[in-house]
Amino acid sequence: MIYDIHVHVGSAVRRFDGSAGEAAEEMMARARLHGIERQCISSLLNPGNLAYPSLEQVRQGNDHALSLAAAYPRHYLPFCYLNPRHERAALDELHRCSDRGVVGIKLLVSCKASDPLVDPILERAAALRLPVLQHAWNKTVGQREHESTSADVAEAGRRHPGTHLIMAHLMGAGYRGVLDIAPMPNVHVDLSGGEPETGIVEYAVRHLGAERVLFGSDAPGRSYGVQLGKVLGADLTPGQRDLILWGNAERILRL
Amino acid sequence: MIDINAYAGPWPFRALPASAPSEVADVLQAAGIARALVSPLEALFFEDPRVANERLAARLQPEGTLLLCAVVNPRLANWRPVLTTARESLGARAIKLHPGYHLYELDSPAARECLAAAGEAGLPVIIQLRMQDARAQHPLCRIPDVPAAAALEAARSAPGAQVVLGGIRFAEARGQGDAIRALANVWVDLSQVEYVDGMRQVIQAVGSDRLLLGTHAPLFNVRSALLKLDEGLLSDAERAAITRENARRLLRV
Repeated sequence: MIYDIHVHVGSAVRRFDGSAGEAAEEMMARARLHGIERQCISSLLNPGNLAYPSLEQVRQGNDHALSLAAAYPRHYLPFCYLNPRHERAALDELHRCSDRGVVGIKLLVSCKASDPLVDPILERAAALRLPVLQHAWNKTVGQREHESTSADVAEAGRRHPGTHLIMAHLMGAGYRGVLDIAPMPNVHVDLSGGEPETGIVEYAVRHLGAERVLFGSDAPGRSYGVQLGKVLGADLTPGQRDLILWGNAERILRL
Repeated sequence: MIDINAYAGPWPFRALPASAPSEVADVLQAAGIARALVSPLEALFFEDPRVANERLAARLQPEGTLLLCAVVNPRLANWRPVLTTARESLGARAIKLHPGYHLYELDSPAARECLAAAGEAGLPVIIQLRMQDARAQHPLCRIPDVPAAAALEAARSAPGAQVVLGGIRFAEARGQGDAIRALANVWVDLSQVEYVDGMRQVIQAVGSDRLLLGTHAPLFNVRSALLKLDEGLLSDAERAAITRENARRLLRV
């Protein structure tokens, strides 16, 4: 059973044939073609990729992820999206979602991971034993003002050694990203997004250990198959592959 | 299967696990790809790509998996002999243009003449729109993408040329679907087409008769290119067209 640690859902993800409604069932079917039986989802509802969502938008998105997980409990695992700029209200939202069964926290681009505004969330995540999936990218062009780099994630990991952080987008963080997080054993990396470049998965495994690398797709913007090919086409041992595809996810999500 | 868009040689920004021609051939063969159009990565950076074409041609096995796709730079004074030599001496089955790396516009007279000449020579032309995600480029080596619309306009201006849109993205291919369908001399390389339902939507927009399997190996993982096809829920006829028959007709192999 393969776990996809990084998937987006929302009403902006329209059915593939263009008809009304969300593509939740179609995404499930496409994932299952490749043996992906669990998808960790976060939602910002519609339009889906807001940089600075309001508290109401965050709540609606989380309700949406939770409702999908309730409708398909054997497949979708909900993550709680938070905007750290909501401060105390963000923690309240985390508790609301935690009580309803989220298995992780998703942070996007509203605040750099190294910003002190994120510290209370990372502290609470450790207390609730929830991993934090943090978007990160080291961009040559187009870096957003509050978009985390790998150095931001590394700093967050250093300050919160008891929190499981998952730095999203290995291909975006690149080799520099691997080196940045390497000293922090509580910081992992997911393979989602970016191109299916050869060699970089092996590099991450060599420098971090397979125990710190997780499969993720970043669907629907990316294809499950293309992203999975990064793992299945990499020069890995069967044991390393198993850790990346499901073992690490089960351990970190405590499933 | 036939791969329309592979490479060989070193890439200056990272170590490729298998970049020598024999290594590329082994990787492709292991994935079930019997023939692949391969061009030299060195040609993007050498001042005269002819040198890179010759070096690669010398390392290709006669009747082997890899078929030469020679890189031509119409901005150089030697583009005509490079094209002629590629076909007559090096055995090239196609040529590739890298307008982004070689700093010319596709509507320049030389580029238009090159396309027409390739058509007359019976050599398909891959116009490579990009090699990598711009966000991941070396900060001192920012190569602009080539607009798909510019490549389509170039194809429209040279109806005798057979043009492959190399490295086109999903949104570009879908957005330009009508324009591609309207031009009988245009095909789409799938190597950088990606979306969760990308294959089906591109088939719908462009037609399976215009799509070509491309791996972008050794820069990209070959397995990814093949799993992408699986996700498209292809019929047997679509799979045969995309992985083999369209390229066979185009390359006459």
